[in-house]
Amino acid sequence: MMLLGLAGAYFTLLVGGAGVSLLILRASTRLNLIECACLAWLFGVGVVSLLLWLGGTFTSGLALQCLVAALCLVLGIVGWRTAQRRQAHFSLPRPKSTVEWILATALLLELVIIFVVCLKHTLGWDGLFNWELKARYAFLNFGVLPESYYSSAGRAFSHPEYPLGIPFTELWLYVWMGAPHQFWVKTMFPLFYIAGAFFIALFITRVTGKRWLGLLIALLLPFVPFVTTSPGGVIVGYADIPLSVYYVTALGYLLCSLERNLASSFTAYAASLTLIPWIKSEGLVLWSLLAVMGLMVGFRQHRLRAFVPAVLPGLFLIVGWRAYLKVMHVVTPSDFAHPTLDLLRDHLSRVITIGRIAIVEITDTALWSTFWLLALVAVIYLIAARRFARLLLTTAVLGPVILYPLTYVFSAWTSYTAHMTSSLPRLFLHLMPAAWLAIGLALSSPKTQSETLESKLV
Amino acid sequence: MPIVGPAVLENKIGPVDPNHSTDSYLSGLIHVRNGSQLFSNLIEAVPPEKSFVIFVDADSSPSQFLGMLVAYLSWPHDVRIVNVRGATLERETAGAKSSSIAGLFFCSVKPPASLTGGTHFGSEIIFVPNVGLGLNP
Repeated sequence: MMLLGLAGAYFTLLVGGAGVSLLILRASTRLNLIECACLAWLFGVGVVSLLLWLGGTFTSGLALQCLVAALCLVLGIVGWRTAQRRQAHFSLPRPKSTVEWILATALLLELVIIFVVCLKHTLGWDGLFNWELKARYAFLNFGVLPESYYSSAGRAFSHPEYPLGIPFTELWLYVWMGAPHQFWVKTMFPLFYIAGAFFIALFITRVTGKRWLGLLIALLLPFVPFVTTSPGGVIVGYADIPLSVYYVTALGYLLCSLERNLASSFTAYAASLTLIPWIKSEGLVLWSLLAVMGLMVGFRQHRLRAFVPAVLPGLFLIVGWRAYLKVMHVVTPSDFAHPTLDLLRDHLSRVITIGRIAIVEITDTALWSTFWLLALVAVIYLIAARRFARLLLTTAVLGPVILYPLTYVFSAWTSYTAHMTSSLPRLFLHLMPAAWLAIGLALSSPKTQSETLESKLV
Repeated sequence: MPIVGPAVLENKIGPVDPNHSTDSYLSGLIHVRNGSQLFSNLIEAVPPEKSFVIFVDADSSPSQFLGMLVAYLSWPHDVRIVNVRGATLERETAGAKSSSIAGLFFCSVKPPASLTGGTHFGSEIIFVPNVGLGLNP
């Protein structure tokens, strides 16, 4: 019964997500099945978690489950009918050369291995206390996190102020299984990784026209040691890999929108962008940066009117979540002080130490091997190319590398350096897929960069 | 590939257990099997409106982790986690005596001798119900 429930949870989530994806891609008549499946997962997570949160403000229990499931099915039906009306047809891209076949097979094998390894490992510290805990408590309270949780100082360690994208997706699985289950809940984390790997392959293929390069880069992802061995990696149920996937998805679609001027790419960028701050609080930094980049693209393409609705949902979500926390009397987070100019002046002397620690962390070969060195070379190469899209990608990688460490100027820990060493590497992980994208684009030779092989893209 | 390699070579997943993670941690840290269920049994008679105070060693990460595990498993009871150093323990426990408190948990922390009636939960957790605090339940 439990497995049936799990299947029901995934089915409804994917139907809802697929509906949103088909609505977003409604301008396309040829739909890439793999792209649709990955988007269905990412948007399904967003749809289900947001509906559970919003629905939970006025209902609970079975009624809440039925409401969310019904809305998912409605979204699926609307999306499907829209695709039918536009006579869209689905295609499954197939490898076209021996090299592509070998790379695609190796990638699939690697993804299976990642999936299996995720099932073997326990949920890590944050995976258990920051995310699964919320899902469990909400389940035990008929699908709604009680106000007493938000205001409990004794459970402040579980960061009640963190957004509910991940925990309420876990809750959706629990609601359908009929019980909290720390083993089966782990099945959702490799799906983020798999979606991320496919998106990297897709974007590189789409921008460079070289599918083998996209597959190769996707294949190289887990060779960064952090991905599989450290807290924050794919196997411990943290939100860092999911956040990195939403970030690279939004970024990739923004680049595609710029390179190929497709309306659907810009809409997909906007939808992915909206969900970034819903996955983890640090997503606010990434959201802000990508929103500014979207504004620049809007200016360049004379589509400023499309930009405003692209950022508004995310803005509403950020403000709405803050307001909700205030209403719930959330216990004040203690990791960072409220940023003020006075505090900035007082702590400005930290900047040099912060810079030094950031360099130490990013050059730690035990965590990153030579990854950031490759990324640095790629970034230099992209800057030298002097093309707007490449500069945008460079900003998306370098911006957070600079912004993230600077947030520790406002660290409220007794030792801000301890705060940095305990969390900064995980923040850099958010940029890893984006940096792989930069490496992939840099590897594509200038001669063929501009070629866009339509047959390979869809 | 220090994690991926051995995991693949072992060629099995699981155990498929609802408390897969918490049981693993309790087993590793305090040598109790099926710890999550046993913990629930330990506190099942406590009325939900009563709270717990959890004492952890401020200088020990495993102790703090255990404290969080106890807090995690204690839902829906309210909890208060107190980071202690040896000299402050007596004062902190004295301050925790209240009729709204169902008991005290000591995670890798030795309770003061004045507290009686403690129950060992594994090798590192001691639970002192409020009767041991010299209060009426």
